[in-house]
Amino acid sequence: MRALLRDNDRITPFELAVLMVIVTLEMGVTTFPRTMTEKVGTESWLIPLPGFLFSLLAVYFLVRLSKLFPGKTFVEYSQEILGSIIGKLFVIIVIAFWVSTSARILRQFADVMKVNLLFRTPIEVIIFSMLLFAAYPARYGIEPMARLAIIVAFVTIPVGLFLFAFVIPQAKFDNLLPVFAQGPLLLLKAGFLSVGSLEGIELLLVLLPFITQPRKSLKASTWALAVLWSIIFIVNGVVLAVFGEKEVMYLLRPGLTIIQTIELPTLFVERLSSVYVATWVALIFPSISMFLFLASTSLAKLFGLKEQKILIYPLTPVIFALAILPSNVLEVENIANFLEQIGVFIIGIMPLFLFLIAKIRKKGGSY
Amino acid sequence: MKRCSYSSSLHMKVKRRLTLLLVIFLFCIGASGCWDRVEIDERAFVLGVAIDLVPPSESHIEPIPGQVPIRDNIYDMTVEIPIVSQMAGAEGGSSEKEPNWVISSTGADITEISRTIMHRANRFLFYGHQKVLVIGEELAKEGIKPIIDFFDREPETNKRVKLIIAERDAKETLKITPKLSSAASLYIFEILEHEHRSSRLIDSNIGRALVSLRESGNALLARVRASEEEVVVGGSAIIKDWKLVGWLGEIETRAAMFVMGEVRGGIITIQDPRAEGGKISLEISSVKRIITPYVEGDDVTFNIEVLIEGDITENTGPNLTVSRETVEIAQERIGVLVKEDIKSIISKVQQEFKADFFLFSHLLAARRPHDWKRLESRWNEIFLKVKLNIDVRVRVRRFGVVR
Amino acid sequence: MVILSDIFSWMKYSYNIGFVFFIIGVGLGSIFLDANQMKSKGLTRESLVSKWIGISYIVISIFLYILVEFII
Repeated sequence: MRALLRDNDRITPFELAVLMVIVTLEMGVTTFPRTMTEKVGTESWLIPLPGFLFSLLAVYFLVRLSKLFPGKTFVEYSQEILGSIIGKLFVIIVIAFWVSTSARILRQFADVMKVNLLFRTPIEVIIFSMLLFAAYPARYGIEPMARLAIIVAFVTIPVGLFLFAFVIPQAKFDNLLPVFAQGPLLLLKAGFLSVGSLEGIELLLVLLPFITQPRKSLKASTWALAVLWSIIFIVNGVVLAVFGEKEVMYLLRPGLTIIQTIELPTLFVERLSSVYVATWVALIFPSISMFLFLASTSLAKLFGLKEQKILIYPLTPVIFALAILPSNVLEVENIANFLEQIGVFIIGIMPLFLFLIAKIRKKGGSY
Repeated sequence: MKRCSYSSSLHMKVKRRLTLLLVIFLFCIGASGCWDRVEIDERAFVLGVAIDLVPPSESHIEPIPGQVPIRDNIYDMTVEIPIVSQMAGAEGGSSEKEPNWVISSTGADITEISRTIMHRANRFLFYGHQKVLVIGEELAKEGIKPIIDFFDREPETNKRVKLIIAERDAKETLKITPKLSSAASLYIFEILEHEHRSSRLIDSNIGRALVSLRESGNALLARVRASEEEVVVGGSAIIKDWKLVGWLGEIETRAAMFVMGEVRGGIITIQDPRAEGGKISLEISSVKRIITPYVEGDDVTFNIEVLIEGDITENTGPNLTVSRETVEIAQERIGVLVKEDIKSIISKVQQEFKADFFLFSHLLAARRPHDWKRLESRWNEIFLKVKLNIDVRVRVRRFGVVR
Repeated sequence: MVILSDIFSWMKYSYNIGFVFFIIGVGLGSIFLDANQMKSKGLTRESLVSKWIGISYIVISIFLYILVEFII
């Protein structure tokens, strides 16, 4: 195990939690209010409750799986549980998901940058430079990325929430009503589907063997989920309360547009949206690094390579090509919806499924 | 051992050369400059935009062969651009030239006109600091939907841009030279920002107006009228189905704002019945509005409670002193006055305009979702018969430094 | 065939000389930096893989460019 990631291959549970939060907070979060409201109407601000429960279940089964197969990542244990061929297929699906998700994030990021800050820079250049710099830390293993994530987290999240506080006076809480008018089933379903957009949970597929104190990993990831869902709760609730149901569904990225409604008495910072967009730049950077790292590590394990480093840069042209593939924003949104469903399959269904099969076929250790 | 060190030194050499190449490559990218570099003097900051409808007879645009020939609506867009060099000079003393450039152009849609103005001014029009969007009366009667889309879609414009309907031509409002502000747009913007000083005008910005317009197609927007040297901002314009259907006066606007719970200040004056010509003025310091819907079958009733707190600022009753009796009279009479105002505005809206711009529908959908589902399709009829229980309570808190 | 023509039309839009240089850069990096680094760490298999990735990237990128520009 130590030979695989030669140095820097251990992170603390706290670093795991920060990574989970930072990886999930990417451009997709700004569309959450819209996609969730499309599913359940004004109840969308309640989705974090069932969402938290379902994501906690996924995390629980992932941790149990890693206890059954100590020191092994999903690449090894899914092949053991499902058999070599189906297991490999699953691993390849997950790797393809990570590659296309990072392409999706890059593309959404580039579109936002082009619309808000860099009007005439070709998106190829935005994507290329971001990809190149995101690939750089991914070459140096998990530990530097964890440190990077901590720095990013403690700079961007307070700034983002501080800016958000200015929006709250605009909120009209009548917009959050009615609740529970459609019955709980729809809400539960939406909560389950929303697990698909929490990419942070997928870190546990690979990273659990590299935690310094494996016993604390469940607790740490629970905390990460709690922080994540409360951020989503604040964003969703405030956006819905300000815009109301109809306008939220009309806006492309309600989480970004919201910042333009701030009414500060003085005019000293006219264009807060630029500052806000800048915090998003910092937030997507660790996500892309992390997905590159996960994809390359899994690929290396799948082909029995001892070093994941050599696969990072060869993956970048693939991601670049996928990122410039969609012709417009609508296509990007369709791809994002499709990827969310794959995400539900990977983290919503597979952990439970793998765990049950492992129990039935009596694979793994006797935990 | 020797081979190893040889290979590593070779490796170092290759690495160094590649690093050098990379640095040169990155330097080339950096030196070629940023795509998005726009010098500040290449930009024209748009402060205000006014859009009017050109009567079909007056339009003198040649049809461009090959382009869409149907040009049913031709717009006349006027933008106000501050002349930056003049602004710097104006600080020292009065300059002869005008500090702003008001430039108009016509075309079939906003983007097209914007591009025409961009060519005429030879500057990039930058909408990031836009303050007002004034729409002319004739255009508003045709519908404001096609106008707003550009400003909604454009990422530079923020949602705080004031959305205003002008009586008669909108371009006239930008042509005035205000005495104390540097630009007409800023002048109008600031008046609207200080809406709470009188509550007789409505502070409507694009963000909030669009929420209301998308919900129901109805909204209450600010109203301006240009005169020789100033603009009169007061009252409001009623938008129904994205079209202008009428105007509200200043007192009516205040009453409407009481219903919507947006009054934050202003003066209410009543007659003192105990003395000839005696008057009591109350300055509103805070208003709370509580509104609850009740549904029975098809009968919808709204309970509106308005709780007003304020200070007496002027009292010309007997002896010029404020006694317990004065306070009681003021509290009761002001309550009655506000209640009558609210009643008359609601009956006017129900009977004359037949438009639910108070968003009662939204309130019903939020608080009584099951009843709303039943009534939704017939809401336009039901709204006309909505009953109201209005309860206005006033509390006088202070009355200045004399009794 | 429809998918193939879609892929070709997409490539005509997006596959340009800049992308070719990007892939060639990645390939060169794999051959000269990564392969040597792996060799000095004593990982011969990884070194070989890296070298072949580099060579195939360069060949494929140039082949695709010729295909897009001159053949289809």
